[in-house]
Amino acid sequence: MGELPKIVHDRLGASLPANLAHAHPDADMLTAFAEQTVSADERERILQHLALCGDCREVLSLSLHQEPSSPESVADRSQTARVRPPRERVWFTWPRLRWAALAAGLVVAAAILLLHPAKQSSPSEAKQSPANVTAPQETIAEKQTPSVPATSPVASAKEEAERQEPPPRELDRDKTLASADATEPHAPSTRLDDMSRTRAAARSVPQIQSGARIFGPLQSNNIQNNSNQLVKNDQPARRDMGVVLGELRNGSPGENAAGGAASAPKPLTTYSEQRYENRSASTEDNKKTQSTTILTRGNLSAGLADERKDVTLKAAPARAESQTAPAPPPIPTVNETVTVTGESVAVETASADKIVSKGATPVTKAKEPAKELAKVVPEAKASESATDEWVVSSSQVANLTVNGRSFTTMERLSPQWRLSGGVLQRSANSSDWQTALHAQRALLCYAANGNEVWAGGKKGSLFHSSDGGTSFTQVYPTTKGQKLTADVTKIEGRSPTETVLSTSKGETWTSADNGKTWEKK
Amino acid sequence: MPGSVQPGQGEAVAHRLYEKSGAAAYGLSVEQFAAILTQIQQKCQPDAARQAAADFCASLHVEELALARACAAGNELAWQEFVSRYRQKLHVMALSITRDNTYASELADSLFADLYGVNSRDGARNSKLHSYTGRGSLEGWLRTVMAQEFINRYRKQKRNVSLEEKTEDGEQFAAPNPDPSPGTDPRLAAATDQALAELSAEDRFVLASYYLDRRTLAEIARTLGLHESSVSRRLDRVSGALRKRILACLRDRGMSHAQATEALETDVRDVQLDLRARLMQDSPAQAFSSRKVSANDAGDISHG
Repeated sequence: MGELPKIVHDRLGASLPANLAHAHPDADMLTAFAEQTVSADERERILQHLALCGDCREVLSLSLHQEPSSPESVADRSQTARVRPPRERVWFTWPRLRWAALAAGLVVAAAILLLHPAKQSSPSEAKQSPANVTAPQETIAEKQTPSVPATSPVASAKEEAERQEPPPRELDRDKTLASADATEPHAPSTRLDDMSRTRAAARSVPQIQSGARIFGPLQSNNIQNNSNQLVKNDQPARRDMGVVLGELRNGSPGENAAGGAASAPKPLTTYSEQRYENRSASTEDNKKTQSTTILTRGNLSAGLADERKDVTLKAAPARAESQTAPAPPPIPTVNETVTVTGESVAVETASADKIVSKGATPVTKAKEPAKELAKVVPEAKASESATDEWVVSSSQVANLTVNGRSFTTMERLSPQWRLSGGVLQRSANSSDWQTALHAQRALLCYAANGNEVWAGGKKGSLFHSSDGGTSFTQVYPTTKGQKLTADVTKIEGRSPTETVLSTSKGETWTSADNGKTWEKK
Repeated sequence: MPGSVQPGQGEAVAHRLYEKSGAAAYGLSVEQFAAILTQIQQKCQPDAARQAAADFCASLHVEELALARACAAGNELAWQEFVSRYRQKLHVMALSITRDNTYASELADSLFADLYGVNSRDGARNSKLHSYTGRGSLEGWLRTVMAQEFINRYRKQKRNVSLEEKTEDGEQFAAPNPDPSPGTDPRLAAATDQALAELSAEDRFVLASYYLDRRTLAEIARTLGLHESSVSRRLDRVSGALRKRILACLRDRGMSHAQATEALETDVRDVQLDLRARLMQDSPAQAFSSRKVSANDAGDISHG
């Protein structure tokens, strides 16, 4: 209720008119009025008087005052009227609980935002993911540009990619690879093209199964630390770990030597050292950053003779703003190192969002609905160019361990095989096929298990490769003076060392020592 | 019940109420009780019809009326009953009014003496209980009487304040009341009086109780037998209607709407300042001290 104007206040409290000054209602009337026992006329008269007489209003108010139930309580109240004891605070009453509930809700909301900040930006992140996928491509494209001076580290990769022509491949490749390169539409690499290729490649890699274990021995015995890089980008850390190491197949020693010589100084990155160091610290926090791993396959084939197989993942900025130098830049400081020892490699990741192959090669954004396992699409020219790089995007590099360290999800990198016209062909991305084995007799079947590749054909022709198809050796199964002469119709690799052949005559040849000795059933 | 009630009917009503009141226990006869009823009916509803008079008599608290009149007549049994019923309650009532135990005891004892009738007139006790008519409950009547006694005592004590106390209160130095409303437009007062006069008695009672007496909504509601929300809504409605009516009255008296609004909202008494008091309060101890003003300063002042 608002205040009355002062004039109204004053006039309302004006003195009682003279005609009513001596007409105060008696106690009986006031009592009856207070007890609502007067008639309407009497009530109106009393109200008219009360409206003007402040004294009677005061008497009426006092007479209506509620007295306490007992005189003792009245006495106590009178004595303690001025000194009231503090009210006992009741904390668990609804008004307080209401605010407590509100505060708790705010705390929960804040905790959710803090712990899962990326969930809030998941739609935008999804939209940005193609761009993120293309970032390494642009980076690699710039790395391959020899005309860009190394002193421009701040130039963005995108601008560089738009303004520069795609550089020619400087790697030594066989003609098949060269022809495959020529057919590849990656030369004028634009972002949209890269994105489309990425999606296409992602759709065309069914052979990489999540959780598949790699049984094949890793032939690259000594994988240099600078062979793999983790290219960090600035994406939120929500993306789960998506690093995949698989069957890293290497070229022949000679090829490795040539390729290694050519690729050893190959610029893995041209990132600014300083910028990378600034980022390397944050790379350790794998939950907060997303990384992109670049696996240089050529470098992986450096030391085949060594017993020890080391894989080192290096973190690097995802956005290659500073990579422009054609010359091989110093490799960034290793932030995450994965050492692979032993015969087999088992790589597991908690989840992976994408794995991107470098440069013009198809890029795959892998998605496993159930386990979110990473997929890897090796470069189309899987014939081991020293500069072939697999760019693996991940957010949690620290989860990646090999042999000495544990992986939560296993992935494998393996080429695809097929028989076409009696010729065994191989592809890294199911789109670019190259002849792996062309025997005199037509091949009828094959079996690939990691680096162990078997191919069988007519009249008992049987070939075996222990290096992932790089080189094949013809095998002549014999047992007890009998030779395999029938057509090999089926090859089954039950284990890395156990192989079972089925022939057109219903014979079954079994070898438990990787083809050295055979048994016929 | 002579007069307004037919003899046969009046006697029947009187007998029925007499039996209901239990006045016989206090030594009152039927005739005495009927005379009391007739007196009360003549006082309260002198022009009432027979049936209305009978209904009025039937609505009285006859049992308490008989007790009060028996006490006023000096019946010992009635006094014992009265004391047993209301002695303690009187003290509680006094304490609830005065909120002081000593003062409450004094007030209750004083009232009890008045009720007993220590003062005699023409050799007869003049008891306050004679004025009880049974319109309301005896307890309520006692409370009202006590409230009146409390207010009377307060006024007496206020008038009996010594000059020393007034001096201590600074009353003797109180400035004479200024002109009540030197700048108030007489049209505004007239319009306000007119608007207030047009209000109903209950609306004006609500306004006065809330804005003048500072009663709470609960107290006003209990007095009128309404709900607090009803009182609140009525206050809003009456305040708004009163403001509009005053403005309309001002416009009727030749003011424009803007002038009426300004006259109603701005009271010149609101901007009255006690300049003397303000000057004495704000000025330093020595407003124009012995600080010598140089010639340059004097020149600045004179030119400034």
